[in-house]
Amino acid sequence: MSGKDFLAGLEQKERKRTGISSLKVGYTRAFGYYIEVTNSNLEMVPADYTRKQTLVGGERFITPELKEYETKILGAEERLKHLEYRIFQEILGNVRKETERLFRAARAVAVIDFLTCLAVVAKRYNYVRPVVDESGVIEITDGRHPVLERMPFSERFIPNSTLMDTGENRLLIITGPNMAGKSTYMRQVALLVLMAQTGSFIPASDARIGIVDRIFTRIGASDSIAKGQSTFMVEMVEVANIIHNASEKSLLLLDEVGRGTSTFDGISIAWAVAEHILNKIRARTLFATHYNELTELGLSHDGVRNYNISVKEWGDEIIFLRKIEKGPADKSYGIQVARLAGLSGDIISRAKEVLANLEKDELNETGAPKFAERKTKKAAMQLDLFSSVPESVVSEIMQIDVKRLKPEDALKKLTELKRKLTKN
Amino acid sequence: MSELTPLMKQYFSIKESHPDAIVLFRLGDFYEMFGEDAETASKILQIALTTRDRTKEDPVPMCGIPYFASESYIAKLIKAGYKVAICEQMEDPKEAKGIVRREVVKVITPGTYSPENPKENVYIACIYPFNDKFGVALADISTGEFLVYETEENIEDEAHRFEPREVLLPRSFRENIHCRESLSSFYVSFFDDGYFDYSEAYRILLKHFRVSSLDGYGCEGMTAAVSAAGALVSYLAATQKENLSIRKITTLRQGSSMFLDAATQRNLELTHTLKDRLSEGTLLGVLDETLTPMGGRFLRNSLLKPLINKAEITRRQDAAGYLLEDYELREMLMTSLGKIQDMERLASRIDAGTANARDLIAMKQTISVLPKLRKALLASGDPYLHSLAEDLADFNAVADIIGKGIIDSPLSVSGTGALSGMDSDLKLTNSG
Repeated sequence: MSGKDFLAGLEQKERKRTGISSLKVGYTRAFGYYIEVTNSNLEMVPADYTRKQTLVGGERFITPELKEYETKILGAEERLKHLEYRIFQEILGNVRKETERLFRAARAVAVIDFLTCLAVVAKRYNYVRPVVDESGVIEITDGRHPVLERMPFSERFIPNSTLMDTGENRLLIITGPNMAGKSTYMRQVALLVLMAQTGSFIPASDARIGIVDRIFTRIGASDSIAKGQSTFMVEMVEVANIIHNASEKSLLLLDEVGRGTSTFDGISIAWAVAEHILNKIRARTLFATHYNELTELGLSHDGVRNYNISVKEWGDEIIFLRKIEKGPADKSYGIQVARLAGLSGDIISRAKEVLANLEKDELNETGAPKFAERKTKKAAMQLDLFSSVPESVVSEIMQIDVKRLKPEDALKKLTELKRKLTKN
Repeated sequence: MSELTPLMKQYFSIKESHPDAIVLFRLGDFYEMFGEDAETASKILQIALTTRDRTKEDPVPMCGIPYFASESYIAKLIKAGYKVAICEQMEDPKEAKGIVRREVVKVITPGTYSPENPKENVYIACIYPFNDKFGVALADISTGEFLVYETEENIEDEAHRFEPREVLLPRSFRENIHCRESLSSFYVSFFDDGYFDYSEAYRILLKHFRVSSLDGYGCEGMTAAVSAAGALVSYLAATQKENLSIRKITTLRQGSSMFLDAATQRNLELTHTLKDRLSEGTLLGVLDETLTPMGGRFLRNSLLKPLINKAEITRRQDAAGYLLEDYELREMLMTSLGKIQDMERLASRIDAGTANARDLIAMKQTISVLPKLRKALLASGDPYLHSLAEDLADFNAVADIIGKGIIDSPLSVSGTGALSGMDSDLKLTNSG
């Protein structure tokens, strides 16, 4: 007999015995089984009913028979739980014997899913299979930026080609005004190389990717600035990292190196870094800069190619064509970009005035490419400044708690540090 | 303070051994928190702070959460950057003599907490600086993955490669400014230096993996890596207790993949955008058409660690190219993959003994898809796809064990009410 039948039977039996037709048998989690009688029928309750709970409209009772049933049920529930637990553990134990094989299958499924994903994306977005080899050549025809080409922009994405190798096309200097798309182009090249080396097809019409061992980037401001380091310091630390770790097989992306300091400092550093990469590291490098002076690097070095991202002048306005083309940019268009950004008319015209003055001055100093000249060892020494400071001094400076340092102690510390440095 | 009750004495002795975690102390249907824990937790969880002994003059603050709703509360505490120690009643209160025995059964830390995004690994990284290099060990306890390697790169770049939720360091590095600075964007835990001691670490590893040397894993003799790995295993054993499923060590060879430093990973927006760390607008975002969590994790890891070996790259290209051409096979795979659940994490829970009835049913449904996959791939003309099919072995016996024992849509998570074919005497209960 099932529990439902028993309870229904009991209800019928008790109704007949007491004559209370509204008598109900029920169950709650907190109080267990009960017989409920409304207030109007309370005088008809037999003597063997024990009161269990009082409600607004009635009382709940239990009888010895119901109590016995309850005990049986609860015992069964307990037994059931134990039994179920034991059987479940047994099943789990049996399945567990297979985990080694299950893990291996899971791994295979992961790879199958990954490969299917590559095929689906390649098909859907019209990617091409790049030739991947050890040639050192990166040749991309009509490459597209995989992320930007999928953005719902009003502007159509313009494909661009790339040719780099470990010889004549080692260092590409990319000039052009801000906002023209220099960083986008560099990121695109890096992303396509990276995608190719995961085994993916890439958004281009044709491509050959000579495997790179590492990709280094120095683009824009990084979030270390939030930690209080200056933009320029962060930039130089990142450049130093690249210089120390890049190899002949690496791909380097350098965007506006030297931007964080004064113009002459900036150009000098950018020049020296470019030269070092070109001659010492010999890594394939994309070097974006808005210092047009750097385009003269090719005059005195092999392996340099100049590119620019084309811009069209339309009266006083400029139009970004987003197309990379050979040769240096003719000028920087900074003032036009400032206008686009919304600077007011009087600022723009004053800026033009100042520019005209500056350009006049520059004309007075005409001659050989000024920036290409080597000025003894001075520049080199400046770059060395950071690396020649012994670790111990750096860490000592790092440990100074500036907020708590008294001025006289600071002076003392400085003298001490200076003495240490001169000793070295 | 007045005399402590035996219960509070028990509580404080447990709390003493978990000073850095919020202790959830099981009392009947509730997890209670006391003292400072209660003050901290009540603010984070926005629950009322009360006290157990109102009448005393220096009452201990207290707050509690119902055990059946504890998951979401624990998630909030972890998210707020706290560790949570779960302290359970270890015997039936009815059978206990005196006070019920209680024990911490698990410590949940950010690096050992189940993920919000199934397509991401949750790594805890243990880093051991040794001479001029670092030993690194990584574990994802939800998948059973355990990686070790040694590196001479800087610690920040290393950490960013795997984006661990928690980084474990020797305690003596607590005051090290360099470590603190470079790991400032991570949740860092410290562990006693003794666990990093090479011979101790080595002994722990041999014991845990039940092997006589680490040769089979390819990390024998890698002093720094072994130290980190041993410490990590000890830490996981201390926090996860017996629920730990780490079966093997994978040694990463240096130079087997392209190394991307932290700045490059960020600049190229591979998995997070520079602005808001979303995956939309990233390379991962536009490439992710994976249909299983395992596939999603594999893709993510592939983008963060591209290959540098021509043969390996070509092997993938060939297989992808084959699938690109074979429309029918591709469609068939997509349909089947869509039915596969997180097999890796399910297997890991089964292995750790923490799987419930629903997990087993999910595994049964998943493995029932495999034979079809296997057959289709074996028929393909691509050697890589062919070799992958070999690993999709026959799991009919496993499916049978689960199918015979457990009903298809179990109500309960724990196992009760989940079994099929119970005898009628016991079925009585379900109708009351």
